Amino acid sequence: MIGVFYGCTTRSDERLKGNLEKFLEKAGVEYIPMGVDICCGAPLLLAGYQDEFVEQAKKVNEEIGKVDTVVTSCAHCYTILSREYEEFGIDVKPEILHITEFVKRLVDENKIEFKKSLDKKIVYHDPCYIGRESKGIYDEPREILDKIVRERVDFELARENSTCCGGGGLVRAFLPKLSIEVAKEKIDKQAKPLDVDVITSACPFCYQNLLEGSENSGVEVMDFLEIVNQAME
Amino acid sequence: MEQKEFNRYKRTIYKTLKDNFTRTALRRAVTSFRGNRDKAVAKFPYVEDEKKKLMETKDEVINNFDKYIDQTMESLKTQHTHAYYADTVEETLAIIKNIVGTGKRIVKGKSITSEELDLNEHLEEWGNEVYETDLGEFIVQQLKSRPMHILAPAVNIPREKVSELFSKIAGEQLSTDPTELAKFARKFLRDKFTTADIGITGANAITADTGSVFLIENEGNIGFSTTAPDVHIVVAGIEKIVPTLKDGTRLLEVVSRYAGYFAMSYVSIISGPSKTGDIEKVTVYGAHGPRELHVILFDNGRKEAAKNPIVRQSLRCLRCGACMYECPVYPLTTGYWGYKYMGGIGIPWTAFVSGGFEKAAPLAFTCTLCGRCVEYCPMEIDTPKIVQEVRKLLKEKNCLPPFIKDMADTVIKEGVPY
Repeated sequence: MIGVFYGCTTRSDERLKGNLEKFLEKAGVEYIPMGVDICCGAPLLLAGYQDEFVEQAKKVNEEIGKVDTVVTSCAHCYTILSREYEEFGIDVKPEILHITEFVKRLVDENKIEFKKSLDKKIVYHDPCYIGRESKGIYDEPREILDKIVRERVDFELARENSTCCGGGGLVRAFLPKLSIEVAKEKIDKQAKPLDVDVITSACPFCYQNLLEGSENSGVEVMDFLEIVNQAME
Repeated sequence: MEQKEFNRYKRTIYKTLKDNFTRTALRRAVTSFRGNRDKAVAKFPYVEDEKKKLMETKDEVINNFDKYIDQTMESLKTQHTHAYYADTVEETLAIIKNIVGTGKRIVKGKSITSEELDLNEHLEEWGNEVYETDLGEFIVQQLKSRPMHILAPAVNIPREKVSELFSKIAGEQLSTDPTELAKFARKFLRDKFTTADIGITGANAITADTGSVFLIENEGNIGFSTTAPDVHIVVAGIEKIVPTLKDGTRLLEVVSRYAGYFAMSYVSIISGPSKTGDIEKVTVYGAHGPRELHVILFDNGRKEAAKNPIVRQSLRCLRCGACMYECPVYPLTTGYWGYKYMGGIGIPWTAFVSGGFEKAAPLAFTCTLCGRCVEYCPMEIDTPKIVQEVRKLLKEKNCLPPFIKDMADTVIKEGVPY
């Protein structure tokens, strides 16, 4: 059985939640919704509440222990579930997949089919938390995007060299204008020179932060699943 | 720390975001740094191995501070150097005051360790005249500002502002041409070197086996400051100790490459005061260089940092500045994200060494934990992990920003933050 771990940021953002649910429906995935009324614990860990984080993690681990595979579209939940729990001595039983890995798997197993290609030039922004900060999911999102968009380019600084959107580490909670300015700088100085129509990412924090930073830039911000969904129409 | 302190910090950061001069200066600096560093590292591929060896020796010293301090003190004394060890800032300042006294003219080499002591303010308070001689540091001193980058203190100051400042000092209108501006500083400082009583510098490394002080630079101001005056004082944190002379040369190569240089213009390796035995083999001190060399090693929280298995790593820092240029946040905030030490690496240094946990609290929540700095640090310092540890300690010490506490409490109570 598959558990889909929403995460607090995806769950509370109608667009992102909609994209996720729409994808699952189109793909015909049967799943148990998880992480809706319980947080993975990232805010506790990031706030320095390590003991409380472990308590939270145990509760979450109990919930996700009911399934064999947990899929999440949140890069932060992904790192917490797949890496941090273990680092704090918690034995996580199910396999943890990021949505980009899951989509790739469904494609490989011929369980989903792409019918359309997005007629746009896009650049993929690597979220730090499925890249550098965990096992390095770089190829899966790129492989998928290459199948479903007209043209995909990379930033000069991509993959393990990718620069943060500015939305991580609770900075967005403390200094939102700074976070947005980091995103704006990335769009202005890294995306615009590539002459792209769209910047996409596979993390709710990156999405929200890039969206705000893209104002008046002429670059559209799309969630990874939004593009996948369009291709499946 | 109260909410209003965090608000004050927030206002400063937000003000910096609107400063287009700073943004432009930093964009240029980052681009040029990356090009230089990549070229320097690519041309000397063996530097990869060298940095690994250096890292091991750095850890060896950090894990055995007392042993290496003793060994270094012993070697320094053998070389006729006055060697001192101090635990605190107060003790260090007392030693310096005792050597310097009052009414002296002092020339200084750039040193962030000296910032840790607020040394210039104290020297002036004791009735001395102080000149920073590194061009960037000279600009910062004349502006009565503080360094905004670990290696390039005036990184945020555009040429127009430097011209305005120097014109005021010169009493005539200077152009904005960096060449002319550097020429003015050269002329202004020239006689300060030759008439100074004392030179004060930091150190890039101090070797335990030979008691040698390594100083690397490009301008030539350190060469002047360490040889022209009668007395040379070195003030260095204990983490600057390396076991051997060979480790010192390795350090100078690694730090140069990662700071973006093929080779630094000048290297001074100073092992004792100036001396001659040319007249009847009688040793006379102070031939052409300083008669006295004083080396002060000081702790100021470093040993405490070394006790923490996670924070310990931060003491490896070579001050090459690569992490700051590669950080997504630092080029927007510059040194305003910092106290004496800046950026992500500045967080543990502020908490443990200079400033304390209260000062470190807002800084710790300005790091996005993105991990980019780790990729570029020659000493493989895992800053995000260290910042997490500092946040944990902030919680234990009840120094967290109030809204962070509120958010965490909500998760504990409700199971979710929002």
